[in-house]
Amino acid sequence: MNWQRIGQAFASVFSSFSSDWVAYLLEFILFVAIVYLVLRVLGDNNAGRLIVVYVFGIVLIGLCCLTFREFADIAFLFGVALLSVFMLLLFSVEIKRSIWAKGTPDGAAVRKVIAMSSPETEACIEAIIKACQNMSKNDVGALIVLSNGNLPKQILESGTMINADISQQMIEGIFFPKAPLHDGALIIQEHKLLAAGCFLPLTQNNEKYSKDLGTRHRAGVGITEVTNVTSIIVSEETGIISIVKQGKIERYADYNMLRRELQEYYWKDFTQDGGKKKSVIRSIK
Amino acid sequence: MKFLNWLKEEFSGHIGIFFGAIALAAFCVVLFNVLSLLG
Repeated sequence: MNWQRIGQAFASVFSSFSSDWVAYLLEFILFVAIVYLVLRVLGDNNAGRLIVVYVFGIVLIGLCCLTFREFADIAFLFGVALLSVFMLLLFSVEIKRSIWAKGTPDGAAVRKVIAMSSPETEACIEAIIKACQNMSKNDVGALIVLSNGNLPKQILESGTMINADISQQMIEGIFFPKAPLHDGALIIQEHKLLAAGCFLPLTQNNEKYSKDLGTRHRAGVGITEVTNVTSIIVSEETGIISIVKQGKIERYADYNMLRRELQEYYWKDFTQDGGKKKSVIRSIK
Repeated sequence: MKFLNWLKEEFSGHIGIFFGAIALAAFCVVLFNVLSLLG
């Protein structure tokens, strides 16, 4: 290795910073974007050791390229890119989740005018509450997701599209233990039972949630972590009803809590403005 | 303002990773250009 020549190359690179600053800046931004993305994914997934491997890998590729100098610049670029792709592939599921979370619209931002009157909406709320309470009493497990039209398509496709009107009997029928659609989530969108038997991503936050919570609860929490939706879970073992929003679980939900949540869902997300929402709620009370 | 809020949210709690990425990127840029000159 000709150290003198390498030293001269370093010196000329540093001296040319002022003249070619645009090219250097673009290269720098490109590298920062790639490296930040990889380090962020690794950091978010508690992969501290892989961060060390990644940094060590880049330094090693650099040293190898300095030693074997034929096409070394291109080889270095490809080396860094390949190492980055490899690291990102290791966490493909986690990346998919974060893209879902960023790509889906914020629930509060979804504004639609509903064509149904308040008594019809009130009937939907009553049907959902009664179904949940009945299932809780009979220890029938249930997982209901109140969607704002922002669920990823893959989740809806994993189940069966129903597109039925909301009724207490229909909800209880879906979650009847021997029914084919009982094992999965029921997606409610506006005034329709949109799909049933849907598979949801499970939460990976093992420290936050106790091990008593089973797969149904983990799925109910997991979907609220990646999209802005509300889940209602009825425990099969204990009959406890839980409400989950943005990854926060509220257990022992009673009639009033369910009612508050459903009223918020229907009048916050699907009306044109907050003022109208308040007046409708007041008229129902 | 919206952009600033997004930046604040994006980088809060990840400032170490951000500076780490800047340092590693600077290393990569220098090495890439040195290798270009040597090649």
